[in-house]
Amino acid sequence: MTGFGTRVIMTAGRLCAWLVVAVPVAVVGVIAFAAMEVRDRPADISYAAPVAMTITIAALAAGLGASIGAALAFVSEEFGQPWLNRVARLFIAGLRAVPPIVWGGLGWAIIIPTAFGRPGSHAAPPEWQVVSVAVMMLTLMLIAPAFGATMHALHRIPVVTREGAAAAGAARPLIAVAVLLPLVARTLWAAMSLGFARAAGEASAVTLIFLALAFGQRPLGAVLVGASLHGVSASGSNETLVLLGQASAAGLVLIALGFAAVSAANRFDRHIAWT
Amino acid sequence: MDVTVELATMSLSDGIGVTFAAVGLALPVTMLIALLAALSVAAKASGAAGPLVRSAGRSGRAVPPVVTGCAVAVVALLTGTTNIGLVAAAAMCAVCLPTATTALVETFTSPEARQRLYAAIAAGASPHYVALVVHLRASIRSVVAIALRTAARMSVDTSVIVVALAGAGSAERAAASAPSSPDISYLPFAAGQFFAAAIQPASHVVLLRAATLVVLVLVFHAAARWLEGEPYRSLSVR
Repeated sequence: MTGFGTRVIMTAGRLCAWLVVAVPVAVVGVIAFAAMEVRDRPADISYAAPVAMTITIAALAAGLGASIGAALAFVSEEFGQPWLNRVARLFIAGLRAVPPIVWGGLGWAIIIPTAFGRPGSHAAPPEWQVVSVAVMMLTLMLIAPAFGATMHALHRIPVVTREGAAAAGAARPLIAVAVLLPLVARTLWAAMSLGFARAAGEASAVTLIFLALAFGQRPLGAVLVGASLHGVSASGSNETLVLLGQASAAGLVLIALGFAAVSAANRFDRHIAWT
Repeated sequence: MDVTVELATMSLSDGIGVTFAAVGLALPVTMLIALLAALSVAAKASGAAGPLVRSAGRSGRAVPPVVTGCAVAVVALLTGTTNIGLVAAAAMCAVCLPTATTALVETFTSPEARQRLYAAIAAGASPHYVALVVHLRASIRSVVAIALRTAARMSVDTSVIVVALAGAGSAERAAASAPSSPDISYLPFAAGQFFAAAIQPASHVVLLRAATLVVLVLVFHAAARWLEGEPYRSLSVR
């Protein structure tokens, strides 16, 4: 590699690095610009109820998903036989392979028979049922990343810590509860925060699940998808931009929720492995 | 989007072509930009952008894909872009670029990579040479694994594509001054699956397509795992 060639590639790399930094900034900028389009118009969408619904669903799913994922990682890594460890990892690999659209379709399919399956019954299902299914599906979606984050946190603990506790006479359950759990507690909180961000921003799954409540309250992700698609059938491009602006306003709220959650996660554990 | 579709005529292969075209366009662009950016960060040649690239990956988790899709939709509407494949590719690129770059930066700045760096510098090589030759050659399996995971994500990330294509649909309608009625078979696979699942969630073809999506992701992840090895190694050990 010649010096000139290296320099050209490094200059291109520097430009690409700035491009990578610019992409999220540009997204937020475009969303803010589109949201400004609707500032002088009476809001067609009330954001209070969707925000409350989003926070409720995301918080429940994050709490449950992170706890289940962490518990599974703890059991398989600290107490499990090799076969249990292998089964747990296979299960997690299976969960990781299911895209959100499939979780949403599954949730929608669970709701349909109770809502529309009975002859003559076309009433919307009760809201608690739809919320429960959404929480269930988002929880299943969050188990895999929480499992991975806890495994990485457990592997970060030096072997000498376990060996020291064992040499002092502590049994495995005591080591797990009194030594390892406090050491990974901050990672668990970070996993819950990132799980909240991911669950709050998940749109395709909740849109499908909340189709059963077509005119009821929906989470922000579903509001965003619904408003965007509604914009396509609007009468003119101005009207379409306004509808996209309403979707963008919902997006701004989602970004705010996401930044709050990610900031919290960074305070708890900056090096969390969350994929 | 007025999706006038008859699911009876819908087949498993609908949307594969446009998905293949969009991913085929977005994946090389994303990986090339991410690779160059990560190499310059690893060689500490990116200046002030280095720490920002790392934080862009972390902060990127705060911007949901659907919001990125909405931004792409706004740009598509304002610029009048109606090409479905192009808009989908742009949305995929925008969603995956920060995460792919961060993953590559983690790979190139791992303790093993640092050891290679110090060894090569001790042997008289420049950091730039190490970044371009030593890192890339030693981490080629990890780079391919990241590319496979990115391809999986691009193929199935529905919300970003659906919302971004709403912008393309609006632009098409504005240009034609007539209601646009795209057929599901012309939409990317994941977007078609979204509309099909909304219309007839329990139909045979919808379930078959859902299973296809799961198998697709499984195959990509399994290939990445095969290339990269044990996924739950300690970060400090890596």
